[in-house]
Amino acid sequence: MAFDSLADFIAMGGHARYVWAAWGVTLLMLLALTLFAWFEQRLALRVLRRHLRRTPTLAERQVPKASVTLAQAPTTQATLQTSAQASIQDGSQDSTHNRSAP
Amino acid sequence: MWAFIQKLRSPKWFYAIGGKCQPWFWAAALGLIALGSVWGLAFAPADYQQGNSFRIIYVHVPTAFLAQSIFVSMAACGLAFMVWKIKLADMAASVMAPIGALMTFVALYSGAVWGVPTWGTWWIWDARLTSMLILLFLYIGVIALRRAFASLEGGARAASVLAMVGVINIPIIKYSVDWWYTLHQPASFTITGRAAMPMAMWAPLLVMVVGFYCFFIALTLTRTRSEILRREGGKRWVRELVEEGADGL
Amino acid sequence: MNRPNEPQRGADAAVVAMLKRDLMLLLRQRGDVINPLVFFALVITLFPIGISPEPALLAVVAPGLLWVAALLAALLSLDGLFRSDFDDGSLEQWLLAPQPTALLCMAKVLAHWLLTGLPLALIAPLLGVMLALPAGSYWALCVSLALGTASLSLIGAIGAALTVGLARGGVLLSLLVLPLYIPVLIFGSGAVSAAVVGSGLAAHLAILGALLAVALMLAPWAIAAALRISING
Repeated sequence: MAFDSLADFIAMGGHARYVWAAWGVTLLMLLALTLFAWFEQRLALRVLRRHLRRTPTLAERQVPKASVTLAQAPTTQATLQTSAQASIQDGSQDSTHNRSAP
Repeated sequence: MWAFIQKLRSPKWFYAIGGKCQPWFWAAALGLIALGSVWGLAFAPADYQQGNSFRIIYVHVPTAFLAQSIFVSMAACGLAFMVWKIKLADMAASVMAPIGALMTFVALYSGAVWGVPTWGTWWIWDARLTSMLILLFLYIGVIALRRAFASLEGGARAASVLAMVGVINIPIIKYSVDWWYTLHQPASFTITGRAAMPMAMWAPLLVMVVGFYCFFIALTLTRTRSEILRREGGKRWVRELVEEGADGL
Repeated sequence: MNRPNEPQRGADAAVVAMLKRDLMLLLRQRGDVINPLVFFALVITLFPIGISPEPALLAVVAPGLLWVAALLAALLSLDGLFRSDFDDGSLEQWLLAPQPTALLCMAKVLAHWLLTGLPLALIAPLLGVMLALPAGSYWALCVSLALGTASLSLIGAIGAALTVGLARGGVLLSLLVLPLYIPVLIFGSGAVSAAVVGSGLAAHLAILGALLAVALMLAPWAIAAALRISING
């Protein structure tokens, strides 16, 4: 030990203000960075989970589209076009709904 | 070897490997910094001239070394991004910049605090401290430039160019003590060279420096993995990873 | 023989053409040439008013003051280096040109230096008299500023190219470029101080020259890369 007692150690031979200020700020910075990184990761995962919950996968999205066109079984060109437009609108509504979720 | 480099491009691979390596670096950082701190604060001998304020070297030198090294690695990542289009390199560079800026600030602060009992002044305009201040401004510039661009790609490329241009400043920092005779002490610690300090003094310093580097690697791994989640959130492998809920922190 | 769609002459003709164009444009807008000089003079005027008119005090700080004021004046003129070309779309055309973009950038920066840096270097001795700059250093002031502003134009052009596409790029430009200017400032004002003292001038000028050489080698590529980034945005 370079010091005789704990009191000596804290006093740092009269240089306590400087040594503890410098060390304190440095260790504080290390701690702050560590906590920040940890919270950042948790936040990223939380945001991602929320986003994924509200976003259906491509497979989930395609099923209703297929059932709509099969059920309606359009006979004329006009109904073909309107059903196609309806399915496109369904799809775009789905995606706008997803985008509004944070 | 080439397959390894090819794997480096894959965020998915990096996320997995990084997750495995991460705990080791955090543990090493904690252990080494704790060991170095106790050793340097309580057991290393005080300096003959400076007394106990000399102990500030154990935090000032590691942060100063890191401040410069982080800028160099940021520039290297920028190079990898611009030349080989490795997006992962840019992700790493973007998380390194604030860490480096903070390290520079703390190095300046501890250097200034050290100056009061040693030279009787809070700030001295010598080459070393001045270069470190310039480095801080360079960091702020890189961070500001990246954020000023509306597109992620534009900001990434601009920050890479600026980092590479700025890294030319680093040799000037390193050799500035040769060019200018100043109040600041000549470099008494080099990794390969002989130390001007006795071993009882520079051994804990070495431990602290290695500990700080481990901390930086651990922090970068963690933050880059978070950045991967943010940027690659739409990919299927991320979805699978999050949904199974078993990803290591 | 040249095929019909290929440029008639080589890259040197393009450089000369770019140089002539920029000089002509700058000379037409006299304001762009005069403003930095007036700014230089104004800033120099501010210092005795703000500090003290005492010649002894001014003589001590004159080398640094002259250099800082010239540096800031040069910085001020940089924002417009690429902006008008960016706004009217001609910048994109040059990036598409068959000539190497780095060469064209050098031509632009040369034009900028000829009409900004060089005039600053030439009127500096006049302002040095106002700041009681000691005799024997006026020539050093001119030469160091001429060499130095060339480096400043090159380095500053990198910053100008990076920020030309941004909304409030002017402020960011200063933030980016000033740290990179500091080595040139150190040796430039050091040269003038060395001339005042009477020794070390050659060394300082040599380092200024070396900095210019490095800037000449590396800056054009950085400027070209930065312009491409700004265009693609």
